[in-house]
Amino acid sequence: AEELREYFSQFGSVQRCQLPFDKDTGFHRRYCWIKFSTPQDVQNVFQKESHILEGAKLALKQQPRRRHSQR
Amino acid sequence: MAALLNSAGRLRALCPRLLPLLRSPAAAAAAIRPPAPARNNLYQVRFFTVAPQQEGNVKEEPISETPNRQTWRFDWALNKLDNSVRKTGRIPKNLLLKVFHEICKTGCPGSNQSLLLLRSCGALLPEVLSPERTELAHMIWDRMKELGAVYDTSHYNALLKVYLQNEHKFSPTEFLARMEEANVQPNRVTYQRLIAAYCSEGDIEGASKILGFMKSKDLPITEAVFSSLVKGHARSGDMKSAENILSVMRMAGVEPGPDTYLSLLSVYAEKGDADSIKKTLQDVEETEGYLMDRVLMQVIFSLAKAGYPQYIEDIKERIRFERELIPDAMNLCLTLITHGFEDISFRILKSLSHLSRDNVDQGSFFLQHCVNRDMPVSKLKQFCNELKEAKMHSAPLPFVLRCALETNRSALAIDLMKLMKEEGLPLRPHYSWPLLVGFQKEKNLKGIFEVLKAMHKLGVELDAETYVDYVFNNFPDSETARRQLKENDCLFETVGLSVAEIRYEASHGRLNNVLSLLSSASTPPIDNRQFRNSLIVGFKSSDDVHLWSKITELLYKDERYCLTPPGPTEAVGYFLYHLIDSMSDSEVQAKEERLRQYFHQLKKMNIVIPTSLYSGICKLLDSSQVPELIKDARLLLSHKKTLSTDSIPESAKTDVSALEKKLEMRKAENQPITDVLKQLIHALCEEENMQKALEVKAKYEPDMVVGGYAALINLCCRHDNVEEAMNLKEKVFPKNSPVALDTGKYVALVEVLGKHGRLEDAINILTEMKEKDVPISERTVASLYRILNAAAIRGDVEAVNRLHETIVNLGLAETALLHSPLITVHIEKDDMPAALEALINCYKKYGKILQVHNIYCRLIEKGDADLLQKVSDFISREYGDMMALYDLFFAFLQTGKYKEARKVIETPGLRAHPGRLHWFAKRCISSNQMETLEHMVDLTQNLFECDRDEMYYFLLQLCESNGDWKKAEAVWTKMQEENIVPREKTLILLADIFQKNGQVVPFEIPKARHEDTRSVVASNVEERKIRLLCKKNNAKEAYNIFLKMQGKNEFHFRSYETLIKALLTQGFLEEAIKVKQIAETHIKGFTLNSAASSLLIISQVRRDYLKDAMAVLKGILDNGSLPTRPAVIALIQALAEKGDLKNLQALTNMLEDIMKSVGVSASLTANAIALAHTKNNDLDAAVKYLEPLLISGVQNPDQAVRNISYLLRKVSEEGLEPALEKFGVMAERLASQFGIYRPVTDLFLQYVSADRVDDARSLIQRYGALVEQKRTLGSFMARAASTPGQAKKIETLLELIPEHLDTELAYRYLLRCYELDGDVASVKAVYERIKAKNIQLHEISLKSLATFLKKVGEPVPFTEPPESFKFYVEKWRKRKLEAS
Repeated sequence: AEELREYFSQFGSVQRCQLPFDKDTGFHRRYCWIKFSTPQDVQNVFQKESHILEGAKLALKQQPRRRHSQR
Repeated sequence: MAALLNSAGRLRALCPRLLPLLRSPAAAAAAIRPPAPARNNLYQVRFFTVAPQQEGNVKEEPISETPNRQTWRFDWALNKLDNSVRKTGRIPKNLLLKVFHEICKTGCPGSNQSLLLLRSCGALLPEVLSPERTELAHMIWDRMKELGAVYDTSHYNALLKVYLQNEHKFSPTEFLARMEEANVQPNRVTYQRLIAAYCSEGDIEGASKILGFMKSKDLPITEAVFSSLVKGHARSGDMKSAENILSVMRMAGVEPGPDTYLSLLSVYAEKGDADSIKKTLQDVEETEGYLMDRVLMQVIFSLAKAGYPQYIEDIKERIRFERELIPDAMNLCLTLITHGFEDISFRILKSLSHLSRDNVDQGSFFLQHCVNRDMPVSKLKQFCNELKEAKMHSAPLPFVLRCALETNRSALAIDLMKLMKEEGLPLRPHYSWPLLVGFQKEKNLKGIFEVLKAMHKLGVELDAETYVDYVFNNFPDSETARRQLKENDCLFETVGLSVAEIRYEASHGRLNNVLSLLSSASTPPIDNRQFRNSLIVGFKSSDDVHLWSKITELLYKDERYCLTPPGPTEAVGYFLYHLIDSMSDSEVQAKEERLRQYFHQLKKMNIVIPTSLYSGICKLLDSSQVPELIKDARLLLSHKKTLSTDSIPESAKTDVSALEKKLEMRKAENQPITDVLKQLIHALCEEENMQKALEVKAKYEPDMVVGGYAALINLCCRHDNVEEAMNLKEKVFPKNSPVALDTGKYVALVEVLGKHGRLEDAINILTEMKEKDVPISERTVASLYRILNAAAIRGDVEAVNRLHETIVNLGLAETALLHSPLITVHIEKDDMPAALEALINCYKKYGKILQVHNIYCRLIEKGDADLLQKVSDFISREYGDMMALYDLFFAFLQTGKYKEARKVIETPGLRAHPGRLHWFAKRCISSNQMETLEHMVDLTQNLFECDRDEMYYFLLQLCESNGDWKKAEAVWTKMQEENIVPREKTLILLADIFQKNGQVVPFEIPKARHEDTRSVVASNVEERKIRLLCKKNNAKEAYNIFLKMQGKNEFHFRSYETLIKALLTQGFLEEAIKVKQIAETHIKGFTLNSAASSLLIISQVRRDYLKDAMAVLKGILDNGSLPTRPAVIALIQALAEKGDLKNLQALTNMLEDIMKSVGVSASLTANAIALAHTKNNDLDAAVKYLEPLLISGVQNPDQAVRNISYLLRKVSEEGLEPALEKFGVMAERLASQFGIYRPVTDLFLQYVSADRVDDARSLIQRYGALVEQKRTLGSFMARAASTPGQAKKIETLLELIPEHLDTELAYRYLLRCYELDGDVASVKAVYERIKAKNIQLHEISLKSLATFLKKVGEPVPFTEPPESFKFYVEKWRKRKLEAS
């Protein structure tokens, strides 16, 4: 989760970063929510064409008032 | 779709089939080369699979079901495996097993399904070792057989292929014997593969035996056989003969293809003969021009296996690694790893490095498989380092760790973490989670301790989540956990551990433990936010106000828990706010008294909270309908104000003394004071200081504004000061004034007035509300109900009645709920006769039955049998006996009189009423009455039509909300006892309960599927009815049933299809389309099969919906199926009639490749296009288009356009004389200039058909040669004899060209024509003519004639042939076959 927060901080201030884990397997659920302070930050994220973190490509979706990413 | 069935050797399998078809070597080479240069993998697969489909499926491997009849299930399974093959060229073992289990679960596997599974057990499983693959195949074979799969030749052949691919040793003779035993005939493919089997053992003798047998049966010897022989000779040690096979096959007219070369190269590889390999490759490159990349990859594997790794590099360099080779290269890598050649595999992997896209990691599959094959850490480390250096993978070690974790290899995972630490990579607590979960599932405490120790040794400080979610739940409580951790030397005192302990105990409701933890001296400083949420959960599940307060006090006073600046006031304020915010309205209401005590105790502890949070809390309390609590919460406000007057912003309405001072000042300065005064009043209201507020008001009366008064009125209401509230109201907001209070304040007034018995005033206020039209929200209605109910509970009958009457009469609110206090009030007063009367009145006036359950319960408790009878009678009369019985049943249950309840529910004739049962169950669930609910479920066991699963589902729902897995388990056992087949929904809920409470689920959790089992069962009856009606051609009726059922149930996709087909056959197009649409919403990816789609096209054409029809046709083609011939013809002709050249052209393009398969001739489309030109009045264009086609048709026998009969018939029928003339001229020109007689023959026959005998005669005089078109004439007569009323045509022919006709044939058809017309006289006359001309009639004609004469009651003037009509037709056909 911290890498995600760190990574996305380059686009703006991250208010909240949640990486839910499945308690039944101990693995994360391959998605994560990232909440930015301003809509401008979110736009910054989308300025970049593709996001790759630890070798995996992230699929990003914008939610109304919320940001969402999947890997 | 077909990719899988043909995939095993995508490229290779095709070649031997194509070779004999394409004679010239150049053409063969062109066909084999993949479509360059834009090589798209998917397209490629398609390309290779469409062409051989018919050949392959029909001749090679007869599959018992045609593609059209594939079942839905099969499609599903196939899709899954096919997708995998298409994307990766392989199937993961787990996927195969999953599909296998799914198919097993559905019961009887189809022939295709078993075939599909068997075929997947060979080379498509590169990650599995060969013996294991064969074992898998045998397991599937046996299991499917048990399930009733019927095996045919295709299955045996598939098994053989699997044996060959897995190099499984077996006895071919025994295999044949087994087939014979099973009464399955071997075919060419079987023999071919048996030869391959002998050859791979080097047994040329065995191979020759079978080869001889094939020759004796005249079976063609294909390239595959020769390829096997190459291998056979080589393996028997005779390389010379092996090499010689190539020339042998050339002599036999079979060109060696990639398959042959692969065999040759492989045997060189086995011998380590690098020179020969090189030489062969050069030869192939020079002469054949094949792409050998895939072959070369196989050679690499052979070299590796034979132990000649030194030659691999050379071969590797010859391969052009391009994108479309990736799946094959990956499979090679995987196979190599599987066989222990990971270093070679790694070299191949590295040659893919230039294919990277967007820096996406490469080689993950490699690493994963290495982990799966239990590669040692040192090896993994080496690969990781090299991948990283080659910049192919950005984080190989974390990835490998993930693989290790996913496969539960804990030792490896810990070693990897050590490595990561050495490399300076961060280690995170959550890496330990999957390991802990694994041990938890095994109930292996020792494993858990080891993980904790290992993580500690690695220097990872585990966080609270680790302990709470993955460690503590192995123990009954955190104390036991702590003790055991200590005993096993893995207790590491960290903040995380302490937080975890507090959280764990709090969320399990053990507040006393929380208190002792928090007060323990050894607990380190922790910010309270770290455990706030758990603490709230704990508070909510406990009623011990004393503990609440004690803990809150600690949070407030112990510095350890308040680390961040704002300080304890804010911290506790936030805590209280969140606590109340997390409670539902009903929870707050239920805990009202406890909260009050809590606030008071906090006050005693001198705890204060900030104003802002206080107002937030007030808002929450207000919206939860407990405004009285506001007063109590107010106790927590700080009174000491340290801030100076000036620093208070205008908007702040807090500090009373400051405001007072300010007010005085302004007054003294003679400045306007209204604003400050208003602020002061509001501040006082907020402080709940009514006394002071009233004094201030009195003092500054002239400067008071409306807002201030309103706040004041509300304050008085809250403080029960009804007198003052009313005074103020009357003074400031008199009834006739246009100014209105807001709704909430009116309601507060009504409430307090009601409470004090000032009914008239209350009613007046209500009336005023109506007059002033104040907005009534749902909340207002709820408040009104609350007021009524409060009065009812006070037992104030008059207040209830009058207020209710006013509210209802004024139409302030309209909801059934509002009426129920009318009855409640009597129940509260224990005046049951009155309650009953109120009940009846309510029903009469408002048509609502309310509170009946409570009345019943009370009557039962009191034992008032008379009244009970009365209520029952009333309900029976109005709603029927059944309802009355249910009411009684529920009341007995509720009051714990189960014996009586049983008697009621066992009333003969009573059946289940799902709605009522549902109501009561929900009631039990929401009020947590487990015992009552259990009894209900128990007592309804024998209730007719009772949905047992549903009943148990209710029980489980309650278990779920109580988190009671033990009860759930008992329910589960009970269900088994009762032999109930639970629905998936129920199982999922049950599993959920187990999982949530940390239990192992004792059954396989069903995956939610869109085919809900319940609907299948429930709709079965209707579904069958629909199918039956469809079969009886009563589509409309079926459709009506379907409409009625719609929304309630989903059907099997077959039923949709059947219904659509039936509707279409009977011409109900709109209805059919509607059903199709519904089906599409219910079943994802619903597509009609081609037969139904074709029917749809025909219907659409009939209705002139040509555009839609085109779309449907396109859909069929996109699905890879074929439309029927009538559908295509109908569409083509309709487009032609419309002159729609554009679409016609588009259609022709679409159909180009499949014309032959559908059975539509090139002539038809050409005719259609010409007709379209004609319709557009462009005759020149039509001729210009058609003429060259007719000329070239002679040279191009494959796609020939020969006849123009359709065109001529159309123009003639529609009286387009100029067109007929123009085409006639063209036909004559073709005959005279090019010697092409078919068109002019068509013209001649058209004249005959149209009874234009003179025109026909003149034509025959000019072009006598047209009579040579015997075949055309013959089929013309045959067609005439197939429908009634066309005898004239044959008569005309007999008149015009008697000497050029096959007289026997002509008369036979003529006879048939009259028979069809039922013209007895003519039939007899023709027979006489035949006799006179001494023509020998065929047996078929004699038989047919005899049958006809007998039917019309005429004597048969010859001996009737003794056998049946069919017999003679067969006989004739056989003779014809032999002759040709």
